[in-house]
Amino acid sequence: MQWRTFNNLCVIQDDKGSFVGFHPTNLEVAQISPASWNPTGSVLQELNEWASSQSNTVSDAYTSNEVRILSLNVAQICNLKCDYCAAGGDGTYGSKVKQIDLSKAQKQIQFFIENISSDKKLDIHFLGGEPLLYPKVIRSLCEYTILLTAGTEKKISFSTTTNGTLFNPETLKLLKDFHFAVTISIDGDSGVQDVVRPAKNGKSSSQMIETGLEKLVEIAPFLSRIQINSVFGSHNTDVVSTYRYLQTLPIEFSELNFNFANQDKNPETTEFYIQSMIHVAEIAMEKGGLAELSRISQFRRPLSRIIAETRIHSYCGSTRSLIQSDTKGDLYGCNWFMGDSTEKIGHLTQLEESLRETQTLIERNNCQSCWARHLCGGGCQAVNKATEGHKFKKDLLFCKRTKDLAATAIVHYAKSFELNEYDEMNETAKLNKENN
Amino acid sequence: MKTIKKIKNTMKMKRPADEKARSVLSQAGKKSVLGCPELSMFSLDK
Repeated sequence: MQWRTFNNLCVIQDDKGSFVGFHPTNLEVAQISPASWNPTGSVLQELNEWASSQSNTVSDAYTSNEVRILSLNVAQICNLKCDYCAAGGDGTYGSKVKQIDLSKAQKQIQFFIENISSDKKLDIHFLGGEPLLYPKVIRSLCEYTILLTAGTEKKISFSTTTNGTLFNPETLKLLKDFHFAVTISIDGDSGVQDVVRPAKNGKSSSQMIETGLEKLVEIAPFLSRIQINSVFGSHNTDVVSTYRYLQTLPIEFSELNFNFANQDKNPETTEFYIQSMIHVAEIAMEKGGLAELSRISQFRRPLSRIIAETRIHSYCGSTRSLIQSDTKGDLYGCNWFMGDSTEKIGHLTQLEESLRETQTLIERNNCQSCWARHLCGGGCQAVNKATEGHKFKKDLLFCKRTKDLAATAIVHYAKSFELNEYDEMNETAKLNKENN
Repeated sequence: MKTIKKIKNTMKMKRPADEKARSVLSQAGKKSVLGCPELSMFSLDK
């Protein structure tokens, strides 16, 4: 698959000879003729007309300045020791404070609940290290939150990201009682998982996860969703095997997030990841069409924007709608910035307003001329910082991954329609109208 | 062949399951960006 830009449009050619066009601001997708690849004459004129057209149905989604997600680092310690761990190599983010302070966290929850609009929802995310190392602390914070919001219009949801090795009666009851959204980090089958995500004691983590998932199935109807987070990069590029392995597990996950490691700067690895993801997309389309393809986050994001005809202007809500607290109560815009004093934006309930972002990330990262800007939203600050040393200096490999995968999603989207039938119907309707 | 055949939201999809997916994605896509994809928070009910 390859793509090129032409007068604001993106023209995509897939390996099977299909040509698809994408309008970056109208978020329109079109099947286009092969002549569009090197347009001249009437083809050129038609493309120019499309490029200069403005949709009257597209809308914009801007990131809220109201905090909607409070992510609390419950534990800065982990029972695994992953090869590529970006959290200080051991889940600590370089901090000696391993556990969140209950009373401080309660004050934070109270503050952010008080500051959310009456009809809006605050999601409290429990992160680590491994958060399920401290289920009693999480339960206390959930109970406290429910108590605070009882009798108000304010909505609350709870979520967590876990390595999936600690599903036991106590943690399962916790997740069930508070209807958690659970994200489980799994990189692949035992051949991959036990090499790149081994337990600290050297034992197999995949065996612990598979045993735990059998128990998680029983409470699955009580959870708001269960999804997967897998990390690829130089340590593992075999996305296809991971995708196939996940189908063998006893849970049908609502979403599969096949991330690329933040700090990985290897162009060959990026290319291999992209090709593997393109292959995964083909398998997914074969298996279950667009419905299955859109289970994979990297394809779901561009597809959801195109289908909703909604342009995004920021990749994430860092420092604005999303606030991260570490175990000491220091506040950051992103979990990957924890422990970096230059990125600290407050402490406990004191948010330093001048350090919160005001511009969109498309503006901040100078993405105004990129064809995928309203599908991507300006890129990831954590990736930029890890690879380029500054959160607003673009990582061009990230851009390549994003654009190639968006183009892949667009091509499959275009192929999901009965285009010929539509044309015939329109032509018939047009003829009938002319005859009448 | 006509150069451009735009896809419209009213057009029929090949698979019935995709129609359902389209409806779900439409709702998801209208929301502003609230969280972080790294944390998989960028999802349906946010």
